[in-house]
Amino acid sequence: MHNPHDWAGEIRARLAHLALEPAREAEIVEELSQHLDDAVRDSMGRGVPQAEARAQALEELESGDVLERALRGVEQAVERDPVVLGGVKGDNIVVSLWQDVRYAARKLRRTPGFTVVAASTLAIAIGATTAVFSIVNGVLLKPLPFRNPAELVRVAATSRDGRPISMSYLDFVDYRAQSKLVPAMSAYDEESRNLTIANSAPQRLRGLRVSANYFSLIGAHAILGHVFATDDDKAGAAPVAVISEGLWRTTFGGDAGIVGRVVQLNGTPFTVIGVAPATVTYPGKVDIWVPLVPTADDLTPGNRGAHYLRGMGRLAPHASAESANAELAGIAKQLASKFPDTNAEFGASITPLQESIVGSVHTALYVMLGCVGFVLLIACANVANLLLVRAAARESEIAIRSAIGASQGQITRQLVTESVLLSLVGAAAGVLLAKWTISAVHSFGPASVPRLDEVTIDGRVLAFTACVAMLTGVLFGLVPAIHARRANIGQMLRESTGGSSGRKGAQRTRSALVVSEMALAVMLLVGAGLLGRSFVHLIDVDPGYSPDHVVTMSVSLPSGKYKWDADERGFANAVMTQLLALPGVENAALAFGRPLSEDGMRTGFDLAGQPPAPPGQRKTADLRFVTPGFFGTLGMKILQGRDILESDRENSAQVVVVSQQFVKQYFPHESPLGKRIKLGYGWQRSANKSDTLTAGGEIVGVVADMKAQGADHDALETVYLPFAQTPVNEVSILVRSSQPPDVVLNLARARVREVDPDLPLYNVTTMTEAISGSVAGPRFYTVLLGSFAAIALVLAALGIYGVISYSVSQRTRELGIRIALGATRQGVMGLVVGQGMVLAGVGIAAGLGGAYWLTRYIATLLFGVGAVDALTFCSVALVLLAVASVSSWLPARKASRVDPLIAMRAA
Amino acid sequence: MPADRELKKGSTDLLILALVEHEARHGYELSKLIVSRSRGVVKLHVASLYPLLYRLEKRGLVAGRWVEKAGQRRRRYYRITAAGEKVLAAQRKSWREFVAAINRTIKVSHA
Repeated sequence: MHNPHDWAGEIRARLAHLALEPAREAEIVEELSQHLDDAVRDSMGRGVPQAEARAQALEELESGDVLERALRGVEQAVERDPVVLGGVKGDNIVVSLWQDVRYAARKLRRTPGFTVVAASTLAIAIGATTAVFSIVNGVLLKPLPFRNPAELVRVAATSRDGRPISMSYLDFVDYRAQSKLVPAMSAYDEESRNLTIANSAPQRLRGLRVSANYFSLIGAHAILGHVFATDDDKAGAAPVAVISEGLWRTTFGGDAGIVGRVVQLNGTPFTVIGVAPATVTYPGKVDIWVPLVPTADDLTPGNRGAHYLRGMGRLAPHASAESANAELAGIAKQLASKFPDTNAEFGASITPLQESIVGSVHTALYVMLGCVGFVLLIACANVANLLLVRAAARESEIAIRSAIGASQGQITRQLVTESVLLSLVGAAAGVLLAKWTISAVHSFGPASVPRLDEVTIDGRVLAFTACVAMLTGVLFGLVPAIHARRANIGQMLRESTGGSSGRKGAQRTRSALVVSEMALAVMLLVGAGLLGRSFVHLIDVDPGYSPDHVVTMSVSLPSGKYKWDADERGFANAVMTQLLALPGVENAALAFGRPLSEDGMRTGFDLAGQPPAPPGQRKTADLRFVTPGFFGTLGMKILQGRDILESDRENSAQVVVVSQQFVKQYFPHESPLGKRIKLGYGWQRSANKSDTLTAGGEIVGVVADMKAQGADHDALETVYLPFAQTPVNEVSILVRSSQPPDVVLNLARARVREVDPDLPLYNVTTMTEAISGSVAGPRFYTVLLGSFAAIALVLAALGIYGVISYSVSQRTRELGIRIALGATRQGVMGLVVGQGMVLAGVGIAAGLGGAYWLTRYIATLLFGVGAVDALTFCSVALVLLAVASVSSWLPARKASRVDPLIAMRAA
Repeated sequence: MPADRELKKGSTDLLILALVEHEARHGYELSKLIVSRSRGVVKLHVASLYPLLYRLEKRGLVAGRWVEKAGQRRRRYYRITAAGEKVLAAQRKSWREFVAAINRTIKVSHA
C-alpha cells in the first residue's frame, strides 16, 4: 500500500521566494502533491520499489529554482486582490469589513453550484416569510388611513350573550347625547342603491347612509367639492350625495364638473356635492354616501327596538376604550330600565375600531407567521449543513490564515460575512417571490380577511426582510465559524486522511441540525394535517339544501317605482312566470334571505293566546320571505304539514312555515301545526290602508333546517312567511335547472330585464360557488399552511439525504473495509439506512412532543377535529418515516456498491 | 534523437489545448497522455507542466475547477474555453503551415 509522501515541504521550499498568497500557495501545493502521489502510485504499480518511485517523482519537481522561475512569470504577474485576511495594523473596521465582503463575494462566485442551492433555499424561505409578514403588516399592524386612528372606536349595542349587534336610531341619539368619553359619534347603515344614468346600463352601488359628521370624524376631506354639512342629515334637508374617487373615475370618467350633477339613486334624484378620496375604505369599499336622515319610523318611540344602525366614534383626549366601554354600558343600563319593553335585553359596547375590523383574523394570521418562521428555521438548518460540508473542504485555507496571524474573531467575522452575504442574495430573490405571492393574494384572497387590498411591500416590510436576512445569515453562519474555532490547526495542516475530532464534532452538529429540521417539519405537517381535516369536515357538512344546479341573483326594488306591496307582488309574479317558462327549469323562487346572503332579519314573537313574554325573555326567530317553490328549488324537505302555496295570498289567511330548530326550541314536546304566532314585524303598504303591523299567522308546515350562515354556524330558529302576504324590496332570485349554469344565468338575466330593464342584477352566482366562497377563509389558511408544510417536508428530506450522503462519502474507506472483511451489501445498506432512521426517529419524537404542546394555538381555527388528533399525529409520523427511509436509502445504495479496493486506496 | 528544446517550447501550448479540447482533464492525466501519444518523445515534468497550465489559465484559454468526487481527494480539472478554442484552431493552422514549409525546405515527401 502506498503511503502518500509529504511533498508539501519540498514544494513550498521551491516556492518560498515567490511570496505567494497563502491560499494560492496551498492550492499549488495540493495540486502538485496529487500529481506526485499519482506518479509514485503508478511507478509502484509497475513494480518500482517505493523509495525509488519517490525519488523519481521528486525529480519531476526539478532541483534549484526551475519551478520558481517558471512560476514567477505567471503567478507574480497576476494581480491578486490585496485581501490580507488577518488585517493590517491600523485598518479600521469598515475597511476590514469591506475586504471581508469582497473576499466573500469572490468565494461564492467560485462555487456557483453551492451558492445557487443555498441562495434558492433561502429565497423560498425568506420570500414566504416576507409575504406572510406583509399580510400581517397590512391587515393587523398598519394603522387605519384616518386621522389619529388610535382614537377611533366602534359603538355597538350588545345582545344578551354580549355579542356586538346593530342599534336603533333612538338609542344612538341617546348614546351620542350622554357619552362624555366619546363626544363625537356617527352612525351608518349599509344600503346599496341602483344608479341609473341615461344611455347606460343600471349599476348597483355599494352605499352608506351616514351621520353628517362622518367624514370629519375620520378626518377625510373631499378631493373635489366638499363633504356633508352639519344640517345635511336633518329631516327635510335636500338629498345630497358624496361619491367615491373610484366611482368618479370609472363611471363618470373623472368629470371635473361632477359637483352639482344630479344622479338618480333608486329612482330618487340626489345632488353630488363632493368626491371622497380613495383612502376612505371603512367599512369596506363604498361607492356612494348619503346623509342618514331619520324617518318618522326611526323617531317613533315604539321602534326603539328596531336595530339596524352601526356606529363609530372618537375618544375624548386621554380617554381609554375601556373607560368609554364602561361608560356606555352604564348608559345602556339606564335605557334598559327606562324602556324595558325595547331595551331590557340589550347592552352597549365600545371597541377600538381597528380591533373590531381585524380582531377575527388576529389569531389565524399570527399562527401563519409563526409557522413560516418554522420554515425559515428549517432552511437555516439546511444551509448551515451545506456550510459545514463546505467548511470541511476549506480547513487548510482556514488553518493557513490562522497560522499567518488572523485572529479567531477575524476568521469568524469573515465566515459570518460570507453567510450574511449569501442570505442577503437569497433575500433579494425572496422579495421578488413575495411580490408575486402578494399579487396572487390580491386576486384570490378570501373576502373574510379584511384590508387585504392594503397589503403591499412597504418600508416596514423591507426593513423586516433585511433584519431577517441578517439574523438568519448570522445564525447559520455561526455554525461553521464555531467549528473553525474549535478545529485543531496542527491536524488540519497535516495532510491527514483520518477523521479529526473537529470532523466528528461537525458530524454531530450536522446530525443535530437534521434532527431539528425533522422536528420542525413534523410540527408544521401536524398543523397542516389538522387544518386539512378540519376543512374536509367543513365542506362535508350537510348544508340542509341541495346547491347543485341552482343559480341565483339579487335585485333591489327601488321604493320610488315599487311604492306599494302590490307593485312588489306584481314584480315577483312576472319574474316567476318568465323563469318557469324557460326550457330546462325545474323550479324557481324569490326570497328575502336565501342561504349565505347578507340579507337577514331577526325579530321577537309571541304565541297567540299567551301573554307577551316579559322583557329579557322574548322569543326570537329569523325571518325569511319566500315564494312558493322556494323549498323545492333548494331541495329542502317538508317534515310536517305543507309547503307555502300559490293560494297563500294577500287576502287569504296568514300562514307561516317554521324550521325544525324552531320546533325543537319552542315546541319540543308537541306538534306546532295549527298554533299561531305573532311576529314583532309587519309592514303593509297599500294605497287603501294606512300602515299597520300585521305579520305572523298559523303554523302550517315544518321544514328541515338549513345552515343559512355557513357550515360552521348552527341552523337558527327560522320562520318562513309567504312573499305574497309580506312582500319586501330586497330579493334573491333562485332557479333550479338541468341546463349548464352559465346558460341558465344568461337566460334568467334576460328574463328579469324584460320585466324591468332598469334593475341592476348583482350577486350573480351559482349556489355551489356561494358555498365555496363561504369557506374561502378556512381554505386560504389550509392552503397556506399546507404549502409551508410541503416546503418543510422537501427541505427536511434533502437535509437527511445530505447528511447521510456526506457521512457515506466520509466513511467510504471504512465501508470498503467492512465489505472486504465479509459484510454483505444488504448489511452495509442496513447500517447506513439505520443511521438515517435514528436521526429521523429522534426528530419525529421531538416534533410530536412540540406539536402536542403547540396545536392548542390553532384550536380556534379547527372544525370537527380536536387539536390533539391521534389520526393526524400518527399519519404525519408515518409519512416522515417513509420520506426519511427513502432519503437514507439512496445514499445507502451507493454505499453498498463501494469497491473495497478503490475505497481502501482513497485518501 | 530527442526533440529540440526550442521546438518543444513553442508547441506545448498547442499540445495542452488539443488534449483538453473535448474533455476536461487534470494535470497528471495530461502528462501521461502527452507521453503516451508522443510515444515518449515529449515529456513534461511537474515544474514545466503546471506553470504552463497556470499561464494558459491566466490568459483565459483554459479554465480550471476543483472537483470533489465521492471517496476521492479533490482534483483540479482543466477544460478549454471559447477563447482557447479559437487560439487552438489558429495554432493548428500555423503548425500545419510551419510543418509543410519545413518539409518543403528539406524536401520530405509523404506517401
